[in-house]
Amino acid sequence: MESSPYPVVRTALRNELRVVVSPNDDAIPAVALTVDYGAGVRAEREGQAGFAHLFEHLMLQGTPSVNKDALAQAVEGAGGRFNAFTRLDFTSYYVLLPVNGLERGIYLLADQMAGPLLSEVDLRNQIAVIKSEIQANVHNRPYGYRSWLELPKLLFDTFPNSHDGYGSYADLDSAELADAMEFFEAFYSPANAVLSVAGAVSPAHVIELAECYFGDIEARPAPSLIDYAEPVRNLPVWRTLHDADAKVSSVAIGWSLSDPAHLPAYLPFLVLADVLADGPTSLLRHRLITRDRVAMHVSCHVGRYGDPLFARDPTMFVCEMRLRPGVTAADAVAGLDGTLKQLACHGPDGGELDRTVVRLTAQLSRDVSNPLYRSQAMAALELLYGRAELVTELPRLLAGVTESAIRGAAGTLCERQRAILVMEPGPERGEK
Amino acid sequence: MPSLGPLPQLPRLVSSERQLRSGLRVVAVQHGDCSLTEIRLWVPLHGLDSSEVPTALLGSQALSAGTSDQTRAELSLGVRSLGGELRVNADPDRLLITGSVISSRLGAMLEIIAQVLADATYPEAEVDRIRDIFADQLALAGAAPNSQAHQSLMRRLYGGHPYADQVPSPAAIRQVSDARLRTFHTDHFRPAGAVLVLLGGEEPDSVLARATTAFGCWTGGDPQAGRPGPVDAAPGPPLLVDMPGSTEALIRLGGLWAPRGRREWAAVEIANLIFGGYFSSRLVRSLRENKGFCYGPSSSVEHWAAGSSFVVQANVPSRSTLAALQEINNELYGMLDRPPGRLEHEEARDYACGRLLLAFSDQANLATMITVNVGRGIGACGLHNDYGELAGATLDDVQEAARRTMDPGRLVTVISGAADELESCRATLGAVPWDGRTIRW
Repeated sequence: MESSPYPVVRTALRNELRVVVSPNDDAIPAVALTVDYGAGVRAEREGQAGFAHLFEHLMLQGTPSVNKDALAQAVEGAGGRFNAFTRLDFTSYYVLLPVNGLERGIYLLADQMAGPLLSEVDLRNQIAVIKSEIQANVHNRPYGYRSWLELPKLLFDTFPNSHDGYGSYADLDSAELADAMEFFEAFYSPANAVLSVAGAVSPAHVIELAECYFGDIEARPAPSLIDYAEPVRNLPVWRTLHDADAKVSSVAIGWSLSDPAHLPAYLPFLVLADVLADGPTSLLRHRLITRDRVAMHVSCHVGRYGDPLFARDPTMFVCEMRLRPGVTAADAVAGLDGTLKQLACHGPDGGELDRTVVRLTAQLSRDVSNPLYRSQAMAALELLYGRAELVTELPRLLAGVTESAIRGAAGTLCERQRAILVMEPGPERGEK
Repeated sequence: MPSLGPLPQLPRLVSSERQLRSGLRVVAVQHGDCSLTEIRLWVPLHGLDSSEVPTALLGSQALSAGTSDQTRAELSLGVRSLGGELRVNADPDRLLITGSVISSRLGAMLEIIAQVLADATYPEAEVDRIRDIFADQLALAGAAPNSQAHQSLMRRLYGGHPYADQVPSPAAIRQVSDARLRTFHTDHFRPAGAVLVLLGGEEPDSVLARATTAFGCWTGGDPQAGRPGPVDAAPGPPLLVDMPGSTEALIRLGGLWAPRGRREWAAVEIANLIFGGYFSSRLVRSLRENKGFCYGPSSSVEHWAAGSSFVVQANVPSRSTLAALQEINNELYGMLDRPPGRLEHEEARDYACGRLLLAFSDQANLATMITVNVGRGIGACGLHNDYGELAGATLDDVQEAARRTMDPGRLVTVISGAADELESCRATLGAVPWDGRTIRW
């Protein structure tokens, strides 16, 4: 087997911070630095929905050494950019810089890990900013991420799996500085984090800088890992929401999927999503858009955020369709069922699996050449599975997915109960 | 805070270019080690009038509806078999084909693209399907509040110019016949003046050879002459567009100017960053970090063949509309009264240079940037020149650029939101209700 052009070098510091580095040549004179902390939406307690995301905002409000304006200036004035995002099982902070900014990037991320500077004024202001974010993304946008927010509520029973990561205004308003302090203490320890660096850098130099800036951060124990698995529901669920901003009906169908860590059973679902809905000739798009003309958009993805591997067990398989005017959700779902049954019995037509895998692996090879993608993917894969190398091994693993595995995955979706969320145009009836 | 060494040099791009006999310019750029080659084909659309914009847009969707010997499904399967992907879109300035393919199969992919350009037949039955779905898709996309607010601003800025209606109505799309598409293709989708950019890990001369072979079949005379006329927007009172039920006010301000070359381009880029183009900007600090009005206020600069535009956008809770608009105007006047200082200039300049440098880490984005530059006549080494212009722009240049583009007396304002919520704006600002489509004065 050809060796990967992006080898992974790893170490752990004395405070148990895990460090992974993946160099590239000077043709891309950039460096991407990511710190993932093992706490996300599923770490929130009841009454605290939306807190992980709020805390992400607070982490960017500055520290005793670098106030928030200075943070933005230190990164942007160096020609770089920074941001953060909250996922089910981790929260990710990244800095992308021209390569001369390596040391500054490490310093800034280490300074964050040492502890934010929390103030009541910033807390209240960021709650207002998040409400504006929710207004813009949920309430004032047709379909407003509803499938992402609502499907888990139909598929899962426990609070960690079913609640949405934006949370409620009431929970957000009740947040106190003491909660933030406690969250930081519990979850933002070096032992619960990974530093991942990719770019035109020398791994030895990165590790030296990491020891210098992160090494003195006080060691604290990592929180114990919680198993969020729950039994697959055996009743189908069908729920209809009304959305005043929607012009046509939209249907989202979700299935719970278990453990991403068991790749041989899990990867066929990734390929299946593309066989169904990647490109105009894919099975479902061809059938529903071109042949039957019942839908105008069809997409399939694995994972709550479209990030199949960046979550622990359980996750989900989702198919979303925007319907043509006059088409009922039942028609569209029947079309999907027909396609899945056909795939479960006969598998994809000759060559279709190969075409899909070729395309999928080609896209991955492009993603992996980008330091920011590599740094973020390695951080999540190392944090969740201890396997940053998966970032370059994935194409080979996907190429090994067989036709019978695709048939099996389609068969699972046929048998397993699913949740159907229909969003119809019309005045909202007291539903969020 | 660790200090920085000097910014790295912009990586040298190895490139070759050749003009084919048809007038098509092919630029092959070697970059990176990924097994995909990026494909961009830019076909300028000269002097369209407003009534032709729907034809151009539907033409982009129906381009690969069939050729004399291949159906739409066969073309599509052909692309997919090569590990390829292809998208086409159009705006009033150009048709743009965006794709990528496994590098070893580039030749076959280019043959498909060339075949489509040389021999698209726009078969009636396929065009019917595509038109039908495209009209629905446009209606759906165009109905989103952000899109509505942007469309209203474009109409206010550009009046009767073809730039005004870039999201045509479904009815306008449904009126475009397949015969009309065929004529439009012959008149406008021509190789003279078009640019093909290929970016990947392969040696440029061999890429050029494959492109030359593949594109031999695409011929056609010189494209129609003419450019869209210059545009200007007369200032006036703020306009209020009713968006019933909206919980937010979508505030948009915009202005137009005729650009004066790359030096000014660089100064405007930097001035825009300082005002609202990045997180450290005055606008974000004020509207988001200090007031908490808004999640993502921003300003941006767009360049079109007939001129350039500066746009400010902020979505705020309805009750904060007046306060937010006042803040935006304060910050705009501030760019004139409290002009950018040395430190602000240096930070924005270094951010702009760094952003160009970081573009090299994203192959698809890099290919598009090069194509836009070449398509607008700036040349394949445009990025390196731009880097120099950004680094060399002086504080005086940046202050002058701010005066030229951001003077609130020359900007127009459009606020979209629920009319009953915006009543206070009407009284306080002397704002005028508007249907968002036709300009009344």
